[in-house]
Parts: sequence; structure tokens; C-alpha cells
Amino acid sequence: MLLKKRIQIFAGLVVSALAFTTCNKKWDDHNAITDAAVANNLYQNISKTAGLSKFSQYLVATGYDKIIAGSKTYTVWAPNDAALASLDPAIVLDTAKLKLFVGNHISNQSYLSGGADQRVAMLNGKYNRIGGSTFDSANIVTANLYAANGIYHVIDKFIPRYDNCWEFMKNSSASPLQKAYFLSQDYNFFDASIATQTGVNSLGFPVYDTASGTVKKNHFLEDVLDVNDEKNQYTLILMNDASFTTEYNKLSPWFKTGTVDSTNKLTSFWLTKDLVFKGAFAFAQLPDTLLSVSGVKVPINKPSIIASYKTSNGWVHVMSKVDFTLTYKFPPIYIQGETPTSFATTDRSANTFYRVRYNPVTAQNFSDILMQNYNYANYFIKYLVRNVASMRYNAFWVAVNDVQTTPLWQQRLAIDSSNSAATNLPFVTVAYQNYNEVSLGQLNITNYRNVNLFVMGPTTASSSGGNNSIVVDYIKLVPAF
Amino acid sequence: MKAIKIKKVRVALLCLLTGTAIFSCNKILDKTPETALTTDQVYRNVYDADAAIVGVYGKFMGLAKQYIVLNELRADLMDVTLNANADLRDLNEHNVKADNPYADPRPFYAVINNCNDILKNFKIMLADKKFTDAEFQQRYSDVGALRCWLYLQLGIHWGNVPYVTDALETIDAVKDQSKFPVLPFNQLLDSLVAFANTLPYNKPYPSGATINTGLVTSYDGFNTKRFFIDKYSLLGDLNLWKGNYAQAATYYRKLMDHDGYDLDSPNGLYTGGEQFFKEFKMNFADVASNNDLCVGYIRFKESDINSLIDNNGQGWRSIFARSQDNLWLQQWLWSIPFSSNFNPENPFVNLFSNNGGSYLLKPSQAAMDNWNTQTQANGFPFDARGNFSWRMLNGQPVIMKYLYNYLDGTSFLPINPLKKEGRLFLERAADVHLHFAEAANRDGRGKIAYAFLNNGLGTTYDPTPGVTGRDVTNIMNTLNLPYPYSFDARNGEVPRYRGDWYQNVGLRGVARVNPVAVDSTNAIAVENALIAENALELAFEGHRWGELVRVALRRNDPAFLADKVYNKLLKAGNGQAATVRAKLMNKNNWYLPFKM
Repeated sequence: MLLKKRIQIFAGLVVSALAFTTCNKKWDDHNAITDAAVANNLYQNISKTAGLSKFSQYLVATGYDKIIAGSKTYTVWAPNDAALASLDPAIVLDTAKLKLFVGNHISNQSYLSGGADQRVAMLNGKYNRIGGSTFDSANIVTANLYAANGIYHVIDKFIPRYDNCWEFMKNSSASPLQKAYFLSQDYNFFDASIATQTGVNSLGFPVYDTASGTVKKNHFLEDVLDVNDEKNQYTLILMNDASFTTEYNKLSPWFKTGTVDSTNKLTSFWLTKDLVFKGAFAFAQLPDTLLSVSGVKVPINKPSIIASYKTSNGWVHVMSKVDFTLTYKFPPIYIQGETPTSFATTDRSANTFYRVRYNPVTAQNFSDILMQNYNYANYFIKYLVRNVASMRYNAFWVAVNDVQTTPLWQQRLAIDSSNSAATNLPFVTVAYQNYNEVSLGQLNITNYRNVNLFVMGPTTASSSGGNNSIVVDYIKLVPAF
Repeated sequence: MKAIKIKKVRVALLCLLTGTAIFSCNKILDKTPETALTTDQVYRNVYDADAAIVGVYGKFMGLAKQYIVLNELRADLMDVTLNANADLRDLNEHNVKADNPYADPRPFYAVINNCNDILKNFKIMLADKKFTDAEFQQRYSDVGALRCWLYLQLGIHWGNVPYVTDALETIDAVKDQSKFPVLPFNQLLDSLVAFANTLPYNKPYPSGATINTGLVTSYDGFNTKRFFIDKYSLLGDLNLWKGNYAQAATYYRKLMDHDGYDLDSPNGLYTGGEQFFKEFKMNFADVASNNDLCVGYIRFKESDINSLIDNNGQGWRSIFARSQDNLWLQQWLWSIPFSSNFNPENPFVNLFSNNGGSYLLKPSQAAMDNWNTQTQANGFPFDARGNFSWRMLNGQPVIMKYLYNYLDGTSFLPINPLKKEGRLFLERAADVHLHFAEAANRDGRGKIAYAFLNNGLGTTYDPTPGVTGRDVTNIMNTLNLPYPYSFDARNGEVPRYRGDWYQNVGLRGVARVNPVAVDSTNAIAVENALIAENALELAFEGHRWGELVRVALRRNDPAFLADKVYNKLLKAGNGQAATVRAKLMNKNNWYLPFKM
């Protein structure tokens, strides 16, 4: 009995001893760091890697050594010493420039080589293209080296920090006139969310230090295309002064206004709005025609390209000639009948029908407006057309009468006033089931302005029989130059 | 000393425990469960019978999702969205594997088995004099008809299925082939027609003021009047499937004439009042008030797109939105509501809504094109029923018929995302009219079919429609034809006529679209037009696949069905279109794999 107990106790001891000794080691082993590479952070590993001594120096000089030693994950594309030998000493000596330069090689998150093509945000705010075994135009020499907090690749070439299209334009002297216009569109914007509040006024509203909240914005970037944006890619055409003047003179007659300044502003806007494009088109990839943001076809004559510059968000081409075709610059103006601005003062909404119809000529559905038997003399539907260039226009409409074969009513187009004989175009009989465009005559707009168009019915009232009717699918104004 | 004491205590405890266990156990087991009934607690009286019927319909509602998905997604009007999983995609592309949950016949057999159990017990109750003959007949016929309907669905989708009419302990017993041989679809139809013809009572549950049953009442704010299957429409459908066209037309006619819908009247026929001229008659619009079920515009502004009646309380859209009022009763024969107040949950919000749902299914391009190639009476180049059947919401085409009780009627945002209100749509007058026309057409009455499809009897049988002040005694009727094709649609002043069918304006009249130009003596052309109309009127309501299968089988023309599905996939840009067409050219591939 006693012996048995002793054996039991002894056995228990042996088992627990074994357990303690073996367990410890197993536990330690299973999560012990066996790979020295992940024992250290990115900076430590880069500084130990042969051939990256210069880049490590720059990391220290710019403070990036601390950042990439942090707890976030990074990818570093480190140019080797041979590559950095050709770096401009001016950059090395200027810490601010050097910081932008080094930051152009580091991104957040881990990116292994061999992935699909993509643009990745760098720590300096720029985007670089990665994909396969390349980093922008550099080749990855040694790929996928890892550290505790990310990945680094050794590359054979440094990638300078490029200006973006807008920055390039500002620093360039290739197109003084165009640049002057662009810069003239700058304005100061007060942003309360970043301003320092200095107190509260008597009404309880916050008072800000205006200097701290002022941001510089640009109308052109906001209204046309933000080529200052790093995330997306753009192509910008800069015209040299000679060509800018040529095209300017071509356009300025169509922007007659009361003052030189406003004509100047309008012409410059109309010219430059079609010089920015979505997408990065390098010289080799440029087609012979580009479509601008506003849908205008822009002829690209390659021999006229003086120089092409890569930017951080696309390409800038300096051109000696962009020969705009006026018919593309000034496409026809369409005014849809079913979107009137107003009607004659008397309410005839009970006689007004917004219809949907099928047009056998175009083989498409269309919407129009029909007013039937409204019983009012000189009734009109008014359409406000904004920003009409100063030129002559040939006017057309599609007006489909599919409601009555007899009588066929008449209607006419007038500008500016509903009762001025001088600006009325002649009455036109609306034929039965005519789905084609009908020519109405010519309008002469002498100044760039907003224009009121009137579609007018007969001059005498009639309550039945369908004499008092107006129908409009659309009005089309084709520039006659 | 201590040890001994403890040992004694232990022994004592053990004895005590054993004692309690033995004595108390009996009592525990004897206690009757609070949430379940034992067999001797059911089928004691007519109220138990009613509870059993409500119960089986409750279980039947669980089939809603499977029923709609199978009947619509396999056909040509519904398509998958990018969110749909592989099971739905396989159904869409007719590449269904045996383990596809939508291809599982077991849920159908579960309800059938409940029906079988109820039918068996009803007979026992009758033998034990627990309810009267009349009570038995009404209830037995209802459950029997529901079972037929379920078997018809099984036949349509699985083709060859075992026909089980015995009450089974478990569904697995269906697998026993020696007891329940698998019947080909055609033989199954024979069995169903034979059984349905023996049902003793074909009318709805009485709901008049003098005679009523406990089944027609209000539950959770819903009237149960049209919760139950309509036997006439089922009998018509079974005979239509079987090719007994005159018989089918007769059943549909009885339904359209309200046989049994008003027990207060002397002969059981619904008489008097406007409701009689409107209910199940596809009647004309109330152009002044727009309080109707027709596609309509504000009066005198019929040519204005902005005056289209597009709300939950008026016009064609309200068929799917309005509460169970008189107008609703004019159209619906069988529809069961889903509510957040009771189970099961409405599955359709998840299937169709892109707001609060998963948006798994959408209208097919082919379906949209169907509507957009119609012309309305006012010249608008689209069928407004399309506007109400689906709608662009957040840039996505959304099937709307099931969402009008869930989304707000004007903003189309969920009224309450957690309250998934809705309805299961099963049968309505428009479907009955199309089926009646189909039967009539095949029975050599093409012009009757033409009238039902297009602008109604009054217009079709009038040589000069629209003229007033005539003697209409000899026009606007088909009284020279034998029943069920003899209709009186006369509408005249001197002498005054208001025929039973004078308000009928046909399906396309109700929908305000121009009539289809079709030669009424060409049975195939008329039938094609009827199936085309089905796509415009009844899209997404769970009828489509059955329609295609029935006509393709009747004509022995697999291309009729295959081309429709091919066209859908082709228009959707689905690369499988040609493969699917080739597959569906073989009839055997129309059916789902049957795996119990």
C-alpha cells in the first residue's frame, strides 16, 4: 500500500518534470523569430543592405529613417549607390528638396513586385506607376526584401519628383499668354474649417484670423478640369504665344461684348477649355484627334509639337500650332421643346401636353411639348438660351403634328421679344407627321449674351378646330460664322 | 471516523437522488407540452379543422421564394444581377445541379404531406360525425385543390415525380419507389384532373351575410377572403394543361361569372351592383376619378406624360399596392400577404430591392424591350405596365411589383427597412382571362380570344364601335354561341341594355395599349399573341415558365420555349445563350433534377 503510493507520487513527479521541460521549448520554438530579416524594421535592414548606403544616408538626413521604422507598413523602392551617383548635388544639399526626392520612393502598405500595373501614392504626395518588376522607369534589381514592417526593393535608377501638369505650366516659360490667362483665374477662398478662430462676435458667430483660412483656388481647374490633381492622369497642351495669338484672333470675333476685358476673358476661356484632356497621352500615343472635356474634337498635328514633358500626373505637350476647326469649336445649339423656361402670362397648362413619341426618321423615341386649342392670340413658349456666341445662326426645328390633318396650324420663331416684327422669323406651317428638321431662317446675334427664344402661335385666338396649337420637339441653332 | 461519516452521507445522498429521479420522472414526462399539440388534441371539431387549414397555408407561404424564382428566373422575363450567387446563375443558365436548393422538391412534398394528413383526418372526422357534410366538403376541397396545385408545380418543374396521396410519417418515405411510382408529367396530369373532378365543392368559402365560415375573417388586419386557392381557376388550369379546352373554358367562365361568390343571392350567382360588372371582368376605366385598376391619365390631359396615374391608390399600379378593398377584390383571386407581424418573413424584399435587400434578381432586357415596343392609345411608344412592373432606382432596374408595400410610394425609399411588408401573388383575373382566351382559341373560338386579349367583347362584336344612339339588340353579344362562349356585352340606351359584360374592355383596353393586329382565325398567331401579352401583364408574378412549357408541349415545339430563353440570354450578353438554346431543344432538359 505504502509502496504503491510512493510509486504513484514518483511517477507524478516524473510526468510533471517532463511536461515542464519539454513544454517550455516547444512553446518558445513555435513562434520564435528564426528569420533575421523580420527581426528588424525597414530602416535597419536597408542600412545593412550592401549598395544602399547612400540611400540610407538620405533617409537619415530627411528623417524618413524614423518614419519607416514606425509601426505602419511601408514599401520602399531604394535606388542603389550606383544610381544615386548621378543625383544632382543641389538636391542632396537642400534638405527640403531631398525630402521630396526620398519621399518619392516610399509608399504606405506592402507592394510585392510582379503585381498588376497600378499607380501608387508616395509619401511625398505624388503617384508612381508600379507593376511587374518595374518602378516607374526603373527596374527592380533585387525584389521583395522584407522587414518587420514592410517590403523594400532595390532599383537601378532613381525616379525624380516630377511636377504635375499644373505645376509644370506654372514653372514653364513656353507659353506666357496661356499661362497668364490660367493664373488670372486664381482667386482666394476662405475656408473656415482650417482657419484659426480668434473669438466670437456680438451675435455669437465665430471670428476667424482671415490669413490662416485663405486658400488659393483656380476657376479654370474647378470649371474645366483639375489638372492639379495627382490621383488621376491628364494631358495638357501649352500653346506658344504665336499660335495662341492666331487661335485667339480666330475666336475673338464670336465674343463681342461691351468691354475688351470680358471679350478677352471669354475668348481665352473658350480657347483654353479645349486644351486639357483626361488620360495621359505620351507623344507616341497621341492620336490625330483628341476629344476635350467639353466634347470638342481637337486636331493634334504631331509635327507641331515642340516639346513633350512627362509630369507626375500625365503629360504636357508644347505646341506651335493647334488649328481648331470652328465647326467643332461651335457645335450646334439644341434647345429641347419639353424644357421651356416660361409661357405667355395666361395660364394654359390645361392645354399643355408633355408627350413621348417615336420618330421613324431617327428610329428613336423623343419627348416634345404640344399645346392644343389654347385659345389665345400671340401665345408663346419661351426658352432662355445661355451664353450664345456673337454670330449668325441658321435656325431649324423638329415640330411633329401627329394630331390633325386639317387645319394645319402655323407657328414661328422669334428672338428677344415676342412682339417685335424685326426679330420674328416668318410663320411656318406645321405639316402633318413631318418628323424632319424644318429650316426657319437665320438669326443674327450681334453680341455674346443670353438669348430669349420664343415659339409663337397664331395672332388670333381660336377655341376649337386646332388652329391655336404649338408643338416643339427641339430647336437647333447651327452657327453660320 | 470522519471518513466513515462522509461515506455514509454519500450513500444517503445517492439513495435520495435515485428516489427522486424514479418518482418524479413520471410526472415530468406526463406534463403536456405547451407549444405543441398531441394527436388526440387535433381534429376534434370544425375549429380544429379550420386551424389545420390556416396552418397548411402558413406552411405553403414558405414556398413563395422557390415558387417565384423557379417560374420566373428559368423563363425569359427575369435575370440575375451581379449580386446573384451560383445557384441562381445556374437556374438562369439551365445548368442546375442536384444540390441546388431551388431545385429541391422536398419543401413541396412537406406541404403535400401536410395536405395528405389533413385529408385523411377530415375523412375520419366525417365518419365520426365531427363536422357536417357541408363543412367537410368545403374544407376537403380546399386542401385537395391546394395539393393539386402543388403537384402541378412539381410536374412543371421536375417532370417525372412520385404522386403520393397517403399521409406519411416522414417525407423520406416518398423515396419508396415500390409504393409511390414516379409518374411522367402527362400521367400526373391525368391523376390530378381525375382527383380534382371529384372534389365535392368548387366555390369559395361562403362569406355572405347569412352563411359564413370561420375561415373568412380578419387576421392581423388582413381579410382572408382571397387567401385560399380558387378551385375553378385550378380546374380550368388543369384542363387547359390536359388539352380539355371546352372543359377548361367552362370552369373559367363560371369563375368570371362569380358562380358561388355570393351565397346571399338566390342562385349563388353574384348579382346586382357595380361590383358584379367589374369583378373578374377586366372592366373599363373610371376616367373621371381614376379610381380604377387601368392604365390611366388625368382626364383631358391624356397626351401628357406627367399626367400618367402613377401612385399606390389608383390605376394599374395599385393592383399590387392597394389594400384589400372592393377594387382589389375585382382583380385578385388568390394572394396571401406577408407582414412583419407574423411568419414567414417576406423573401421578396431581399430578392428584388436594392435598398434594404440584396438585389439578386432584376427584369431581363428582353422583358423591358417587350414593354418598350408597344404603343399606347395616346401614341406614347411604350407600355405603361412596364413603368409599374419595374423602375430605375439608383441607376439599377428594380422589379417593383413586390415592393409597393415596402417602399414609399413617391420617394421609393423603404418606409421602414425592418418591416418587410409585401404579398405573394398567386392568381388574378387577368391571368384567368388570358387562360380563358387560350382555351377558347384552341376550341375554335379565335374571335372570343381576340376580344379578351384586345379591346373587349363589346368593341369586337360591334361593326361600328363608338357610334351612339343605336339599337344594339343584335350586336355587342355572342349569345348565338353555346356556353361558355355566349356573352352579353350590350350597352345601349334605346332599348336600354346593360349586358353582364358591358364593362369588359379586354386586357389591352385596360392597359391602354393599341390592340394587337392578329388574324383571329389563325390559332397559332392568336396563341403567340396571348403568350406575348402574358409577358406584359403578368411578368414576375410566377406564371411565365409554366406558360412557356404548356404551349411548347402542346405544339411539340421545343424551339418555342428555347428561343424565348435564348433571346433573354442573348440580349443580356450572356455567353451561354447558344449552349442553353441547344440544351432546351431537348424536352428532357426542361426539368430539374429530382433528388429527395
